[in-house]
Amino acid sequence: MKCEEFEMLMADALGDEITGTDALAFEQHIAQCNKCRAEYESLTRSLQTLHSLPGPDHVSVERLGDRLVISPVCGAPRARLHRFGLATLRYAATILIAFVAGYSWHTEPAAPQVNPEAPSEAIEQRFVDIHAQKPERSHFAKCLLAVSNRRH
Amino acid sequence: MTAVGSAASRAFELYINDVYGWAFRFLGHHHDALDVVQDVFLRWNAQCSRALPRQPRGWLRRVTINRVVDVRRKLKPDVNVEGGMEIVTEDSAPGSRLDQETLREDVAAALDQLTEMQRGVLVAKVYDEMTFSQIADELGIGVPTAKTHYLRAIRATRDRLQPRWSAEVEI
Repeated sequence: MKCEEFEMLMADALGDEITGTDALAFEQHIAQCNKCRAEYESLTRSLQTLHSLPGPDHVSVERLGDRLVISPVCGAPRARLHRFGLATLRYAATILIAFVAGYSWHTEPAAPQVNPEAPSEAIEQRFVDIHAQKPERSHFAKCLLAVSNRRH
Repeated sequence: MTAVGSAASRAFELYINDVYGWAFRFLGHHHDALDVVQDVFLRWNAQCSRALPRQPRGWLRRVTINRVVDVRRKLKPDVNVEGGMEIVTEDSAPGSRLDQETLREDVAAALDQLTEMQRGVLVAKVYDEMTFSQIADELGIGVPTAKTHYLRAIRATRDRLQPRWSAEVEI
């Protein structure tokens, strides 16, 4: 592609309207041609500068008697407030997570309350189940069953 | 209300945001922007009594930007951030306000060098986010012409802003 042909593609690219094969051709040319790349970069910078001029989000118009009061409503302070809100939420969430993590770290897990003298039927049933499922790997369960049967 | 009065008040309701936004962006002061808004809608009223513009928004944009350039020419290059309401941005420290003011001056000076058509295309594309096709339709020109105007306008802005960037690099 010649640099002259590249002009229209550059306009599309700077206008954010470049797609498909044009985008591919644009990328290929810009990768090869230093002059066009420098030109594109400097024009992109100009656009960024133009975008950096702040404007109001919208304008509020109030009627006071026979006068109209026009005042700008700006996005920036709202955005700042929004960011402040998010930062506060993030801070609160961090503290909460740290508190919960610290609490669970320092709290010992409660030991199961098992009375060896009177194993409940539920526990016995659990042993029977284990034994039925994996007879070769449940020696401990077998022993306990034997103890339990002898006691009964 | 007459037909002219009705068209004028409808245009005011529809386009007050746009007109104020264009004016404020390049002037940076609420009261200057209000002066431009008032002047533009007075002209709109006068225009409506003669003939209703085919593209009201395009007409308003063109007149507003021309008026902004006129106001900028008359304004002294002082930095009066105290007067009037201003848009507070994230970095509204005095230094950055000064930067923004000088930036506005540079951009307005760049606009001053452009033709009316180039200004219209640039503002429509950059700030109103219109497509080339919409711009061409609004201004009654071809799409390739709109693109050419756009490129020339950005180049003129770049040429005006380049000394500023060089100074930033030196600092």
